[in-house]
Amino acid sequence: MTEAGTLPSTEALWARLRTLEAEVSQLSRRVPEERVSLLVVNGDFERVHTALMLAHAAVALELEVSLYFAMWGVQALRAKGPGRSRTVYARCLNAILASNVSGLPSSRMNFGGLGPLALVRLMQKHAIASPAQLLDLATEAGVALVACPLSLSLFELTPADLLPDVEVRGAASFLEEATRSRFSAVF
Amino acid sequence: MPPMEFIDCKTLRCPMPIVQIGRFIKQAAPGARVRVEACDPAFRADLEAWARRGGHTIVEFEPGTIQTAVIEKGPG
Repeated sequence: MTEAGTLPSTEALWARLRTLEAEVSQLSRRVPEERVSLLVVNGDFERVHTALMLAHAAVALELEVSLYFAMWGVQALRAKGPGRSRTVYARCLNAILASNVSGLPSSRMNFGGLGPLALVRLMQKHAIASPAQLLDLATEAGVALVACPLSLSLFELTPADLLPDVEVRGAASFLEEATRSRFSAVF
Repeated sequence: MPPMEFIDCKTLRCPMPIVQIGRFIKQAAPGARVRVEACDPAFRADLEAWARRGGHTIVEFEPGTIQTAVIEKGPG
């Protein structure tokens, strides 16, 4: 560097610096955030439970976490209590599906709803939090609960039918967040 | 030196022990230490992962039916 004639000029250095700054800025936009995005579509007991467990673990690891509920998953976000009157179709559909997080069917050994009841009892015996308990603690823990508006329309649900603190955002919004996440999964 | 804080996680299952520890550590000063007791076999792995991510140190770890760990909060 001290050899005569080999030092770049100040202008060249500034130009190089500006190029590098632009490159770093571009690259840093592509680095994933400390963030986890979980998509809950299926709505079955064990899937919602696992998704909620991972969400709480993510919070403990100081990651931002969003749980996006679509299709059958939105049933887990329904508030307790009778719904508003809707069309017969919607009432039937919502009656067949889970009433809320406490009524989720298990994909195996459901036995008309007895399976999940037995599972919750077993969980309590082993000090494992149930889906309802995990969901209850989720907002306070900082987990973002999001419902898909299209899925809500399908079941003629409105945000008023859901738990408080549930955001309603569309696919693009969730997907954009997922592209910024270090980890994303579908349940 | 003030007595070390203690968190009893003996009745908690994964991931609750580190949820509790995390909550405590968040409001603690860097360098603060806490003693934790837990029974869950998953505790050790969860704790190591949590410490690795947050830059905290596991100063001591005693395995056994009741596992005892001493954790020091890393610099902010």
